[in-house]
Amino acid sequence: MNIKTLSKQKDRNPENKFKVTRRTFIKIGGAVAAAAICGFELRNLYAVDDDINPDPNAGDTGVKVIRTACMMCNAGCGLQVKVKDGTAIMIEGNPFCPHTNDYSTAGTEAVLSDISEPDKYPGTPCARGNGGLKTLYDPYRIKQPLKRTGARGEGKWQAISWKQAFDEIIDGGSLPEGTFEGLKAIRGTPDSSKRASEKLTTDDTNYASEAKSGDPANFGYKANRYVWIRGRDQISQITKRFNDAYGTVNHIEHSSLCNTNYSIPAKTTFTGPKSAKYSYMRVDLDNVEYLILLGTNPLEANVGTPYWARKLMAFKSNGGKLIVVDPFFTHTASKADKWIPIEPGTDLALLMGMMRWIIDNNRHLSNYLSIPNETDATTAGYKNYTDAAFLVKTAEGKGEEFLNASEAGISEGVTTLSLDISSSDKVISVQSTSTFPSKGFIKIGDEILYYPEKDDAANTLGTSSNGCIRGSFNTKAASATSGTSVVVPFVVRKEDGTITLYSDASSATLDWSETVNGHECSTSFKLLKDQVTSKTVEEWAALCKVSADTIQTLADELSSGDKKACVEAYRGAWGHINGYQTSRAVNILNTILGRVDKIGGYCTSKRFGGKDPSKPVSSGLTSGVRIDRASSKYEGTLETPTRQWYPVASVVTQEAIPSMAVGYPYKCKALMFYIHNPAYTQPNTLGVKDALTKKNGNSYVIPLVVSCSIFMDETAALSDYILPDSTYLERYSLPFTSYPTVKTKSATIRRPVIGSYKDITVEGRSARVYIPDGSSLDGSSFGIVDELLEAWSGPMPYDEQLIQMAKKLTIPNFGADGMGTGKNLDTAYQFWDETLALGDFSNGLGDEGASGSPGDSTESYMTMGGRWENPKQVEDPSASGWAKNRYDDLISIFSEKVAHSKNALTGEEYSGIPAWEKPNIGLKGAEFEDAGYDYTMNTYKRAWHVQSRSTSNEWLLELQPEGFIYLNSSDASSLGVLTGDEVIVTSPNGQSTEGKVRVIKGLRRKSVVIDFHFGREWFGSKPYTVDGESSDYDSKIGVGPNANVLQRGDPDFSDICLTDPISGQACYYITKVKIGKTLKKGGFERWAN
Amino acid sequence: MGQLGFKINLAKCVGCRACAVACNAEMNTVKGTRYRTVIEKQGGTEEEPKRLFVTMSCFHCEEPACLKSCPVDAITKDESFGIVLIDQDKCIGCKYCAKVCPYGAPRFNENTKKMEKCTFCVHKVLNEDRSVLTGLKPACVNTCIGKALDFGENVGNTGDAPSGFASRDYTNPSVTFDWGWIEPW
Repeated sequence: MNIKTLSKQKDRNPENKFKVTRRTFIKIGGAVAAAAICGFELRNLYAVDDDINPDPNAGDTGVKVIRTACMMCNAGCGLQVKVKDGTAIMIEGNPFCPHTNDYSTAGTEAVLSDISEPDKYPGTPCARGNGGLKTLYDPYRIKQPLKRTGARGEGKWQAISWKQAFDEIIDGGSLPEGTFEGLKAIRGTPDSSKRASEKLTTDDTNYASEAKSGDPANFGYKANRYVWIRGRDQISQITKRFNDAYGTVNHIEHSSLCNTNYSIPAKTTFTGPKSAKYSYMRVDLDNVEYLILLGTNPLEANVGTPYWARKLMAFKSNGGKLIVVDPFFTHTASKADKWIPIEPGTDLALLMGMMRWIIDNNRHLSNYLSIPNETDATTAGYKNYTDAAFLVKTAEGKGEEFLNASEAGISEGVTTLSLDISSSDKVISVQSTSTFPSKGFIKIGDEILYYPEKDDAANTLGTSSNGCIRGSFNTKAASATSGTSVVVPFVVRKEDGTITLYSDASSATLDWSETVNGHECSTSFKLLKDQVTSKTVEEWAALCKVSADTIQTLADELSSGDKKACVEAYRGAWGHINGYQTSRAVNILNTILGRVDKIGGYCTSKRFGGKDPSKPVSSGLTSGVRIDRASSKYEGTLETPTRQWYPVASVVTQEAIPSMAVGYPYKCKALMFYIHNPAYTQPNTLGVKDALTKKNGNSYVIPLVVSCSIFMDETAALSDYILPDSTYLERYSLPFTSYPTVKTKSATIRRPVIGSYKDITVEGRSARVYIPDGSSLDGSSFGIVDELLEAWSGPMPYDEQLIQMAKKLTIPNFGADGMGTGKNLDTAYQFWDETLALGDFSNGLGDEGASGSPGDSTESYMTMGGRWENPKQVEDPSASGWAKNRYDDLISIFSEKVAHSKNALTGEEYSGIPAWEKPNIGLKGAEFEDAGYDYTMNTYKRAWHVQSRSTSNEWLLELQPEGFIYLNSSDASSLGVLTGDEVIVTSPNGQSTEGKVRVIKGLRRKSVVIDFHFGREWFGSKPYTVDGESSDYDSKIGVGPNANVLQRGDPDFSDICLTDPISGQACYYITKVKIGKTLKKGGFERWAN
Repeated sequence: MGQLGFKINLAKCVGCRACAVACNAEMNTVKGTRYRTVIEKQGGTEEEPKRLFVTMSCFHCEEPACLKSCPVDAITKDESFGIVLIDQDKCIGCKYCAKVCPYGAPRFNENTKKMEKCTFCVHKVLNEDRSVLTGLKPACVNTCIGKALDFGENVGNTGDAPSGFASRDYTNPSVTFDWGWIEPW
């Protein structure tokens, strides 16, 4: 085809020839953006110069390409960053990272030659990833330590040196209200190994009667009075090291605001009892053919948007069928074959209804479920097995605990310890091993152990070459004395009626209940069946407002034929008070259909990783009860505790700050945040703000609050000190590795792309230190830590901060020989070098920084930015249809751990099998209606933003300058509002927020969706002063409504949000609100759709 | 050598805006002058809604209205590969090109007071003297997470345009639409 050569003569009346205008094409998003663009401040915050000046290409002179990992969300997608003259100029995807690129390797693992010219043919980051430069070079970043000079939240600060900041935080200091104790005093006097040793006393608590035996010492060390809460911490190897060495149990993750109803259900279903580790499971997107997604929008959010988009679109191209269950028609729903707008908080009913139909119609894989042990499962060709046929003792129909061999009256599998054991012994000596299987599980006291081998001659379970795994099944490794009974914990009923050890039957009765040796029992499967058949499909349908026909169709499609089908859920489905059971139901549904470990099914993965450096002092570092009472059973002398305790949960973040404000269960003295902004991100936010500003007379109840943050976020604004961190492009770490997004073994390495390195000596010891761009370190020889702090200006990477703080505090496991004899821990560089070298990266950081500049290591895993096994090899080449990386262990349909736990406030025992629970119940069992509040609220994470920390990013903000309140057209009509009109949304908690409406198609009636990320109080949208001078700001940052302030409080604990009592998960999706018009009308074009 | 154009698979575009941000980053655009934008279309009914995402930039038309409207000959169309460019030295910022472009491609830069637009990443895609393709791809194509956006020579300018997209008859934009597994609308 010839390209017409256009003459230079133009028609000087273009309007005659081209009667077209922009309005020919209806631009919906554009109209909104255009209106806002006119109001933008058009100052160019970052440009090489004012002309169109595109970036130089990879391969041009002076352009380096350095591979690292993104952290604009937590997926850690591999990036490659073009750097010229020390400035990062372009972020692209690392083609070696399967998150952003499909490729295959020549060998088992990726090498540089597997991709031709990888610098020039990058992978695909999402909008957030692409926007990273505007976070790195964000003009509103805090660049020096700040100390407040006014009240908390008043916005008055002074700049201080790092030395002053650390001196005061550690040794104490004064703030406008008066003096405060520092971390050193809070810790109390250490013992001879420098461990925390002073215990909490009655001086530290008004709730001594709620401690075990009424003794506050059982709340733990005084060091627990220091509470540390993290948000997007991906350097947990060092943050945990610090907090453990300091002696506080209060290393509080953000998990209950995040994925706790994904992790705790995984921990209690895929408990990995053989290895005492749990596995996360995710759909194998490479091979799935039929996928039901509940409450998740992975084309915008979830973990690994680039990966999900590429795989899901390929899946659809190949004829895959997608069902999306969500009250809101999201981007993901727009690609679905069917969108099911379920009633919020009722996904559990949908899943139970599906399981009802599946079991009624015998679509569950009974042959597989009937096999009760690993050996027989393997013989039959399966790669895992379940507890479906195990007998469970019941009380009034409720499953309590597995029936063990001794209780069943069997003589096999019953013996006693012939020697005392400690909690770390791996060889268990017993009276006789002869009736025990060659490998398997045993129970001693409350602990379940796994022995991979036995020695009949020596009568040991576990041998010196193949020792026991202690603390399986979420039990705790414990010591026990000689004579204690040792039993096989699981028995089954064979088809001939005999009760036998689980290891002695190749197939067992699946659906059965009876009294055995005086114990009423049911199989796990029967317990499940009882729950799912407790209602008809029509009754389940009525609960979730999805038609019975649809439930049956889904169940039928999911379970029929050979197709590779899977169900997956995320926050929208289980971010509810009944979410633990919902997420368990997802796991169990996939299990009874035999999808676990199958390609196209529910799969796990493996990771290359680092290994924590040795800790010279590793035992007895921490003790007692966390401030959020997670992982603790209530054992106080007072019958009912004042606040909830959460034995099954690992963390209940939302409890931490409000509990500190009421000194429950003990009074705290210091609080530090790391990349965490609960004064904006925690649902029912007022509880957080009130807690941080609560006063006792003249002083704040929480005397010291430190925020380690890059921005003046809403929580930093309420803090006493702000210690500026560096960005993810200026640090080392091994990113978040738990999610098995990629099913082949992989790891991405995060490393600095700009900045410099220096070889220094500290206290006579040499070390290499990384210095971020924009920071500086004067000199290279420092006698003591204080000299280094005095020489440092600008942001300090948080891991570096912790190491220097640790040395000042003289806590163990840092400083000279901190990582073992001859292995000093003086800088973050050393820490990561050792962590990588001890793990799967044998040459550590590969002498990176020797030239003084980033990215100079020639180590191949550094050059590639990670290690990856062949991403194409998802299937096990020796086991067709099965994944190469597998769970490979016992799957729990019945959770004994949960069944043993109860709600400390009500005494109600939790169910070890999914059981229906309404979504509108508080921690004390109070049901709430909120009559008159008729819209159920949902939050919305956009594809171009992440939580709270991207809002000021210029490129991302430009895509959508303002947050919106989404209503469907019928509801909008009934309210009399159009797109652009302003409404006020009010919550039963008394708070309200205002914002502009967007009328959309695709939202359940009487639902309202509010964009997250916007409605900012701080974050560059208003000025603060530093030494009297006003900071830069842009009032157009973060305009819009804030849904978190509206999130309902618990009916009995108004300072925290609705919470799942089993797992501690915060609830985001059930609050009912009122919507009313304000007097402001919108200025946008109106159009009909 | 042939006309360079975009290939857009409308089924695969997930509306993530990565392409728009990659372009900003590559071209160092000034705030308010984004060259690539993603239009969201809503359709269907409340019970069966539809959503379409259409990524829009300059389409380096075969008969560019912008070129024909420019009073100072600042806009040229390359003979070999058909890329349409605005010469920053010649542009006087009269905005005629913005008025006549059916796709809203030319953008006014408040700092320079001149018009800018998508250059098809000519600095990547073509060599110094613009005689040969380098094999590198435009930033937007590099980053497309759904594999919806691609480019090529002589892409064919085929496929149904989404309804509301200005008629091809006016300027013959160099873009081919592929609807994948969905019905055009």
